[in-house]
Amino acid sequence: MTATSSTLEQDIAITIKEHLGSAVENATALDKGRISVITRKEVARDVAAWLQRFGLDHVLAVSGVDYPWENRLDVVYFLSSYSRDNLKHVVVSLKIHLEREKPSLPSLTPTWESANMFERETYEMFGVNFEGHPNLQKLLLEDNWDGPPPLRKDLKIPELA
Amino acid sequence: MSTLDLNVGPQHPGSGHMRIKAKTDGDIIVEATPDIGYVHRGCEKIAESRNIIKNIPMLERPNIADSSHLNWSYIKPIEELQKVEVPERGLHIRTMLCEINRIASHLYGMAIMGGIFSGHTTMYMFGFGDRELLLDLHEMLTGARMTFSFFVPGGVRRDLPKGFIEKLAETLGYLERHLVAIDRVFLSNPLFVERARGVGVLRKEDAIKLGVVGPVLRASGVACDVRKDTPYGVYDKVDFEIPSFKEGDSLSRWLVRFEEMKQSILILRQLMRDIPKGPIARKSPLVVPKGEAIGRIESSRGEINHYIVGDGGDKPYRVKMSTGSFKNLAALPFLLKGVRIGDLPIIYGSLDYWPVEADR
Repeated sequence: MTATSSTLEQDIAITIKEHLGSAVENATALDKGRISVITRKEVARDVAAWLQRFGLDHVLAVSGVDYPWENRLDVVYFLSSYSRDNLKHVVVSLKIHLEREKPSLPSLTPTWESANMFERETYEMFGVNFEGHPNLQKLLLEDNWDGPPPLRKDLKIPELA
Repeated sequence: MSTLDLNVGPQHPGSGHMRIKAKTDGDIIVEATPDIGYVHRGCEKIAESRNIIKNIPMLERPNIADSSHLNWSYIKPIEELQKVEVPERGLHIRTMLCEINRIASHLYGMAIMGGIFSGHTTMYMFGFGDRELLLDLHEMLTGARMTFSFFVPGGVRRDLPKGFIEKLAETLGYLERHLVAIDRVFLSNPLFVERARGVGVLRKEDAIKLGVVGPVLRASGVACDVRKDTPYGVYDKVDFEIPSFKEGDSLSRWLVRFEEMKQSILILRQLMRDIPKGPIARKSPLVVPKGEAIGRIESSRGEINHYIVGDGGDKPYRVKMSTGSFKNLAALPFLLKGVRIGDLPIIYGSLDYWPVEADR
């Protein structure tokens, strides 16, 4: 069973690669229903639009990951499908590498409405600017929070050290 | 047009620890904006500074009524990274606890819906009374009524205690009989039906677009459930159905949960019958190996995902929690637009929203 299901994921990864060509740096099938796609922010909107048409109709989560010593900040979108039976078991992670200084990328909320609150959370927690987001405001933090974005690695909490 | 700004919450009864900013014209809500974060505790930040075992109690606290699912969702990607296989009996016990927990959580939600949001005091008593029996089962198995910290990487902490299966069978028998009463007194009660039917309709396309999960999704005619779509635990070895309704209103959201309780009883009966012998846990290393993984678990409030990045140390490098309540909140401003203020509690209650789970 594992053999057939992994082939299916490979098929999906190959389809993605074929259609998006150089817009994706990498599209690989990982194990059991996981596919990883890496793209650039310049083409993120086009890639998202195609993936949405492909059947990945909602976002499971959006997460930032901070790598200070590589001067890199990743934003990852996790996508899945409700409307396509052959994609229901799949999670596609769409990853975009950004610079840590003033990171920004086009908001994908126009493509996936379900990304709306996740992008707001990533904005306040990692300081990522999502260009064109309909309502890019703080979500969980208090309004007068003026510290650095809390989930960045350079915010150290003494009590937790 | 002059509108009035109305604050609903953030005091507890009626909205939980959250506020709904409603712009109203007469008693029609023109626009509703949920304001969340009152119980934000920075779980994700704290998790980066504790080892993976110490994280277990902290990361299951966001939903005390449904903690086994949060627990499993956190453990699953770690096990995936560690390449640890949980023994069959361990998976069986996990699935069992989760299904007991699901019934308890639905009863809790239904009690709140009845007692607080629709003024039906009998349902409040029914829900909390019956849930107590399930909490007894939790206590017998895990030692705690809620927040069990029962799943650890590699398996579960304890084996089934003596007499547990008999007690479970007895409780399920009672519950099955009492669900009939709940149906008659609450869900089929014309007073409640008239209050909830056709209120807060979420159509199928909108449910998919907003990315809602769990019973909210299935009440809108999308029969998606992680337990069926990508089975974990022993869900691929048991027969059960995914209840779904096409109406998408507040009533059908509760009917989905009601039918799910019946399915959970069915699942538990099969698990009781077929429990395999063998170890309940395997040894697992106390590190998160380098890499990243995301798990999918169907909790009582919908799909939960924990995204975990490991760097080879004993602490996770990054934990992202994406919970059912957070995803379902997207539906709230959508559903409240254009409804009467009197329908707000019914719609809010039908989402079975758990503020702490959303705020983390």
